[in-house]
Amino acid sequence: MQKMTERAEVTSALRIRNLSKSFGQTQALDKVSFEIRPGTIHGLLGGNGSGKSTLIKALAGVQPADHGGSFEFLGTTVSADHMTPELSRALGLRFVHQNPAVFPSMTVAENVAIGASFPTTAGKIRWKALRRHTQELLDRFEIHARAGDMVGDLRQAEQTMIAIARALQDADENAVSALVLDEPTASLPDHEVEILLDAVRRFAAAGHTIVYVSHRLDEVIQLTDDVTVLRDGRHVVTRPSEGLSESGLIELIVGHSLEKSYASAQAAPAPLGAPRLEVRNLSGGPLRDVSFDVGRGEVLGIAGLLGSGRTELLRMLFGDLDREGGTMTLDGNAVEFAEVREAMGTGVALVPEDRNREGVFQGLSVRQNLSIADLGRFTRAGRINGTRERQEVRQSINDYRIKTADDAALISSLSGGNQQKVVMARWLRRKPRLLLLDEPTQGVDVGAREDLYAAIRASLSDGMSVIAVSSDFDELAQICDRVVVLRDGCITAELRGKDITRQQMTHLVLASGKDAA
Amino acid sequence: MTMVKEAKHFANAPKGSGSVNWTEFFERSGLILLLLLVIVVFAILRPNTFATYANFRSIATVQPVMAVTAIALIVPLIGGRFDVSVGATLGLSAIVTASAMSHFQLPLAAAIGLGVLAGALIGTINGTIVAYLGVNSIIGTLGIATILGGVVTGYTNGIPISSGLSPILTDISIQSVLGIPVLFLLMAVIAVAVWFVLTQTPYGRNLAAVGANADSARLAGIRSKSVVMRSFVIAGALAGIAGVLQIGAQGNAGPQLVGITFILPALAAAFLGATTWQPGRFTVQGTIIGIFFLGTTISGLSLVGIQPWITDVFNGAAVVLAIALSAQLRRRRTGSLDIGS
Repeated sequence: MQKMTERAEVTSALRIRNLSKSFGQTQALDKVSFEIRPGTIHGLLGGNGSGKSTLIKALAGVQPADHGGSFEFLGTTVSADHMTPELSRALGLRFVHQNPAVFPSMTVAENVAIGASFPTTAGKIRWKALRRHTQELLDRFEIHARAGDMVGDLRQAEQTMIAIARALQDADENAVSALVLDEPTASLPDHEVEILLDAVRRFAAAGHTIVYVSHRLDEVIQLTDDVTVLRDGRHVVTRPSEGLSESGLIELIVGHSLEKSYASAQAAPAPLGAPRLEVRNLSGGPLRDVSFDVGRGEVLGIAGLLGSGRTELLRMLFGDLDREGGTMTLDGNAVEFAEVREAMGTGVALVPEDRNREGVFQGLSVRQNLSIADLGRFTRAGRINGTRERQEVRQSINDYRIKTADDAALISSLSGGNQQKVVMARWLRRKPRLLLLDEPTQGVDVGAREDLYAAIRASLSDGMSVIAVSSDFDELAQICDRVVVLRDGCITAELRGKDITRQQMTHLVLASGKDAA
Repeated sequence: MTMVKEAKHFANAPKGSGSVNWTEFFERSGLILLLLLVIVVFAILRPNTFATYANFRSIATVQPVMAVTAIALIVPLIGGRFDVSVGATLGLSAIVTASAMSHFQLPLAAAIGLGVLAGALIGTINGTIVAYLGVNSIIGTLGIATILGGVVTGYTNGIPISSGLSPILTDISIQSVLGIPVLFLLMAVIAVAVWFVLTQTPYGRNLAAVGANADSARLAGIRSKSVVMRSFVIAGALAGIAGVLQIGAQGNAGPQLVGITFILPALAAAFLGATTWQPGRFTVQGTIIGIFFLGTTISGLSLVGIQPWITDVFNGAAVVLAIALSAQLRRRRTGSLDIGS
C-alpha cells in the first residue's frame, strides 16, 4: 500500500481505491477510486450494469471484490478481497435497502431491538428500558411514531426511517463510517418521498455520513452534497452536486450528449394494419392513464425502473391484478379479464419475473411442467392421453432445445436457463396471440438466452405479438421493434428503430422531464 | 464455459437406462423389500400361526378399511393440505348408514348412499373452511373431527348400532371370491378409481401443481381454491365409503372409532408410501404398500406375544419416521427444507 497523504486521513470517511471485480470475462468494476467526505450525503449514480450494485455488495462484504483494491474507513485500511459482512459492520458500515426488513406485525420497539439486542435481566426482557431507548431514538431522529405502534400501521416512509434508525442506534457519530441507502424511495408513494428526504437530511445533520443510491435525479441533486457517477464499471466523476443540472447528470451517466427525444405516444400508427392490442387510459396500482398499442407480430418493449409499474402493467393485462379504470381491446374486441384463465382463453400468455416462485413447479417433472397450461388439448372424455402428451412434450423439448435427460426428469435437475425454456415453451405451445414477458432472461446464461430469443422469433413470424419488460436495456434494444418508457406509472416517451439504444433508454427512464428544454 | 456447465448438468441428470442405479432401485422399492423381510422374519418365528392362509386372509380382511382411509388422506395431501378428520368422518358415515337401516328401515343401497353423502358433506365443510376461509388445514379439520366425535357420541349414547343391519353388508367380511376377501377386492376397485383421478385426469394434475407451487399454479390459470376444495370433498366421500366398509368388517357401527389415534396408521402409511414407488410423491400404490407393511408388522408382533401398548409406540414412531424421511426426499427434489408447519 502506498502511503496516504495527511490531508486524506482527515477529510474522508470512506475511501475506495482501485476497486475491481470481474465475473468471467465481464469486468463489473474496473479500478474504481473515489472518496466520501465525512458528514456529507454522497450520491452514487449509474445506469443498469454500471457496477453500482457490485460496488455496494463489495462494501457490504457480501461479494468480495478482486485482489488489489482496498477500502479505508476513518483511517483503517482493509483489502477489498478480505471484506466480510462482519468486518463491514465492525468498521461502521450500515445498509438499508429499498424494501427494509421490518416486521410489520411487531411494534416499533420490538423492531428496533431485533436490530441490536433486547435488554434483559436474567433472561426477561426489560420492556420499560426498551421502550425508553426506542422513544429516545424516535425523538432523536424526529420520527413521528411511538414505541408501542405496530410497524405495519405506519406509512412506508416511516417504516424505512425506522429501519434507518435501527441501523444507526448502536453507534454514536464517530463509530459509524457510513450509512448506505440503496434506492430508499423507489417503492415509496410520491407524497411520502419528501418525508423520507427530510429524515435523511436530519441523519446527515446529526453527523452521519450517507451514501445515497437513487435513480431519481431531481432528488439526488437537491439532497446530496457530492455525487459519484459510474459507467460500464468505471469511475466517471466525483464532484460537488452544486451546479449540476439533471441533463448534465444524465450526460455523465449515459456517456455522451443526446438530443432530447420526447417522442410523443401518438407518433406513427402501429406498422401492420389494425393493432393486436389497444390499451386506453389504464389505471390501477402505480399506473395512471397508460395508453399504447401493440401491432401484430410486433415486439413492444417497456423500459422502466423498479417501482415504475412495469410488472403491474403486465399483471393487469393478464387478469392477475385488478385495474381501476381504462379499456383493453384485443383484435378489435373489448376484453375484461376477471382472472388469469379468461386472459389465457383469449390467447394471452405471461412468463413471470420470478421463475422459482411463480414459474416452475419444483418437484414435478419436465413433462408436467410443460403441459400444465394446455392439458385440455390431450384430454378426451376426462382422461389425459398420456401417449399424445409425451409425444408433444418431447417435440417441445426438441423444438425449444431444452437440455434434459428425458421428459420424466424432475425440473429441478435442469439448469436455470433450461427451466426458463420450459416455462417459455409452456406458453408458446399454446400459440398465444399476445405474449407478455417479464425479465425473460434474468439469471439465464448466454447460450440459453439465444435459444429463448430464437423461440420468440419463431412465434413472431406466426403473427404473435410480444410485450417485454426488462431491466437489461441492451436486451430490449436487441429484441424490440418499439419501446415505451414507463416512469412513475406513466408512459413518458416512445422510441423506434435506431433510436432504441441502451443510452437513450437510460436517459429517458432517468429524466423527470422537469428541466426538459 | 457456459457450454461445459450445461453439459455437466446434463450428465448429472438421472438416466433412465444404462447401468443399474442401485440407490434409486432401493429407494423406489425399499418399502416392498421391507414388507417381504417382515413376512419372512415372522414366518420363521411363528411358522404355525403367522405363515398361514387364515392369518393372511385376516390381514386382507382387516386392512382394507384402513387402506381406503389412507387413500382418502393422500388426496388433500397431494394439494399440500392435511385432513385429520377422515377418521371422524368414517365414524359418522358408519353411524349414518347403520342408523338409516336400523332406525329408519331404509334399504341397503339408500343407507350406503346416505353414508357416503354424509362424508362428502363433511368434506365440503372442511374444504370451505380451508380453501375459502384460509384456516390451517390441520387445525380446521381437527376442530371438525372433534365436533363430529361429540355429535356421534350424543346420537348413539356411546352404544354401537348392531341390530337391524342388512346381512349383505355385515357378512361381507366372511365373503370371498377365489379365496380373496371381498373387502380386499372392493379396496382394489376404489384404489384403481382414485389412482385414475389422480394420475389420468386434468384434475389430478392440477392438484399436484397446486401442491407443488400455488403461485405458479395461479399464473398457469388453475383455480387453486376450487381444486383444494374438491380434494376435501373427495377425501370426505372416500372416508364415507370407508365408514360403510367398516360396518362390513366389524359387523356393527361403533361410536368409538372417531378418535385421532385411529387414523395414525393411515397417516403413517401415506407418508411411508411417499418414500417409495415415486419417492417424494404421494401415490395410491405406495400408500397401500404402506398400510400392508404396518398391518403385517403389527399382526406379526402380536403373534410373537408383544404387549398391546407396543402397537401405539410402533404406529407413533412409524408416522414420525415416515414424515421425516419424506421431508428429506422432498429436500432432494426441490433443494430446500422448510420448517415444518
